[in-house]
Amino acid sequence: MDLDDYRRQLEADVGAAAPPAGDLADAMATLADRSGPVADRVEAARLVNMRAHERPDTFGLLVDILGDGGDATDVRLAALDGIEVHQFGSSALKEQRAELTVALKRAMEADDPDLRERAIDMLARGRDVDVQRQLIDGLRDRTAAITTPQRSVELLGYDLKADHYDVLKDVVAGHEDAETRREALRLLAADAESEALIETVVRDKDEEAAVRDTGAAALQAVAPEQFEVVAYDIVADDNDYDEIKASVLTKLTQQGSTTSIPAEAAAQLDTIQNERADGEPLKEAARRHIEQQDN
Amino acid sequence: MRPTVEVSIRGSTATAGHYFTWSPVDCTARVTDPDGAVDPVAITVRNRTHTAGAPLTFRAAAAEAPADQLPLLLDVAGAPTSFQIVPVFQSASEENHSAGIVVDVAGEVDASVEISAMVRIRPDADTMTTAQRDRYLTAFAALNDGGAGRFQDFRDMHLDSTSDEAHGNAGFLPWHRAYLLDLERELQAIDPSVTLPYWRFDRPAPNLFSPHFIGQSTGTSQPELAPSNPLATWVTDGIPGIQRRTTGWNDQKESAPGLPTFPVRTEAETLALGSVFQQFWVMEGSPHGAAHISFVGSINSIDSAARDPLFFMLHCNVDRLWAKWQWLNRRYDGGDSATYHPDGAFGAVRVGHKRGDTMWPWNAVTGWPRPPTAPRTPLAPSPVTAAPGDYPTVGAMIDYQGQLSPDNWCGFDYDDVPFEPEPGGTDGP
Repeated sequence: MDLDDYRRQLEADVGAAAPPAGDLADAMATLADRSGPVADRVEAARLVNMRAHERPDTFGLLVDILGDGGDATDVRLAALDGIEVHQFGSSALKEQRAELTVALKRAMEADDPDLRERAIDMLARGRDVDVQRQLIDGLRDRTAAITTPQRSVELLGYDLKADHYDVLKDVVAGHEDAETRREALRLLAADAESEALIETVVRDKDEEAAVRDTGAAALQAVAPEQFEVVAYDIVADDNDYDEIKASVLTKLTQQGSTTSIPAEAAAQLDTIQNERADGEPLKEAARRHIEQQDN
Repeated sequence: MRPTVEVSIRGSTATAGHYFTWSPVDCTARVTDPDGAVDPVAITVRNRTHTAGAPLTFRAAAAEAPADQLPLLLDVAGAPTSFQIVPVFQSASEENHSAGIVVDVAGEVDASVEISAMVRIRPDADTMTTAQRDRYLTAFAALNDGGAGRFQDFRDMHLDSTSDEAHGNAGFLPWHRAYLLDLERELQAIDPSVTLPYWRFDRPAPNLFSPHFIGQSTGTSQPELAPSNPLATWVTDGIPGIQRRTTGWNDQKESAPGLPTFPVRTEAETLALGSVFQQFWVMEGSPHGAAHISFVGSINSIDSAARDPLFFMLHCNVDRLWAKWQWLNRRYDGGDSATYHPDGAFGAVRVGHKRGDTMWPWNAVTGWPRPPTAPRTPLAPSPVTAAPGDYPTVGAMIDYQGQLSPDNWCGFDYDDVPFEPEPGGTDGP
């Protein structure tokens, strides 16, 4: 490759990609003018967001607009765009943390679900204890929920604390939605005291396969040695399902097991190897596990 | 009568374990046993067959054009003769040992001087071969070791509580360059053929966002991973799995969009920010921050981003953009105010962001204004270069190709960022 040609081509591409034109001060004035057309203000927000680093006072404007419940939703969303991106780095925005928290809590009261959800997400990411409390309350009492149960569990995962585990255990034990239970199981992997509950889920043949699979991953993370015991028990069980057997065998193989295969499980693996058709996921998982053990 | 010859590559006479980037490689050849030959001894240095590997070219001196083979006349008494290996830009190795050198002595190949090497270059993740991808994932999963491995150090380096070391100031790019290099060297200690791939977030990347690679968004909290994917056992902070979904865009067909009024800048738009560092550095917002915010999940906040393996590919692309900007504008001299912020400029430059500052955590400095602990020190060593040192400074990350001094060469390159000698530079390590 001719580097001169390569450089010329890149210079041409760069030359054609000029930064957006416009005066930042004018754009800030347009954005701040609550009486102006919404479309114009959103367009102004685009320029303000992309060039906010040039003037620290832009962040004060963005925070003000976000927290103004009387302002247009589209403009508040545009302000939130800038705030979210500049969270990755801006020290000027960091200095407005208290004002931003207030603005986000006002945005949580908005009618627009997108604005509400994004505000909740950002507060949860920032470990806001009030939002964490509301998420827990919503999981315990559906009428108090500020977002969906699955999302509530996810958001609690940004900052797990001892009292969060209690509600997560309740979700695993009693929630009707499988995805929400899976999310809670994942998070409980960080809690040693949840090992017994997780093991119960993994062993329960009446559970959905996906829930057991997530439970197996959680058990392997929280108690790797006990996971091996449970996994080989599942493999040895004539009455358990192929899908979960293949899943736990794959997990054992990938992570590496510390014990030799118990006799009953070894016998089952031989049977699988001899009787199952080539290409069946369980046979493939068994083959890979035996190979790994042999090595 | 057949003399014996020895080739030394960067001071090493080993016949394997050589890893090149795009930079020219200083070598010598010398006669170790003349076996009755008369002076001078004629040899030819040339490529080993490289049907699946990277072609190499050779030249006697930096001023010469490289060629496929290089005839040399060696002193029969054993004095070394210098030459250079010049890897061919955009012809990286896909496998270890797939590049190589042979030496013809007296018209025959001297089997004792058959040297294998690899032109080891950071690739676009979406264009990796299946074998490259699987080696990378296997090494990454091994470093994680189900949550018990050394990966946790890297996760613990990138938190809200450590954010000021790495963000919001001039050192954003150098700090993350060192961070990636440290991680890459840990991966290479597991598998030396591995390099960090980059995610070009301004292009669709369906091969990357696949169940067999980094996972495909499903609309649920976790991307779909194939059961055989080594990342299926990924654990961070004691929690299994990777929490990530797109904000609604199709990761099979679209590039990362950013947000409606804060889109991800394309490569050309990023490079067009300006030819001076102070103009370019604003890319911390877009494309960098905008790419992060293109997802819901761990990757969309500083505190949790390092829990997602995609985060390192995102930052590898950020670093590639910096490298490309450096090449485009010839910015390798950290003492030049256009290349890096001069100390004291740009308001109050925080400690750790000035050119001469050492960087946390590799410097092991703890206590205010640094974080209270240092998860990793020193920076992982490399068998091919001593740069940037155990306790790198901000400035040590700038001349990563060794343009100004061979001692600066950090041992990595990108598949689309060439080595082009600085006027008045050293012509590489």
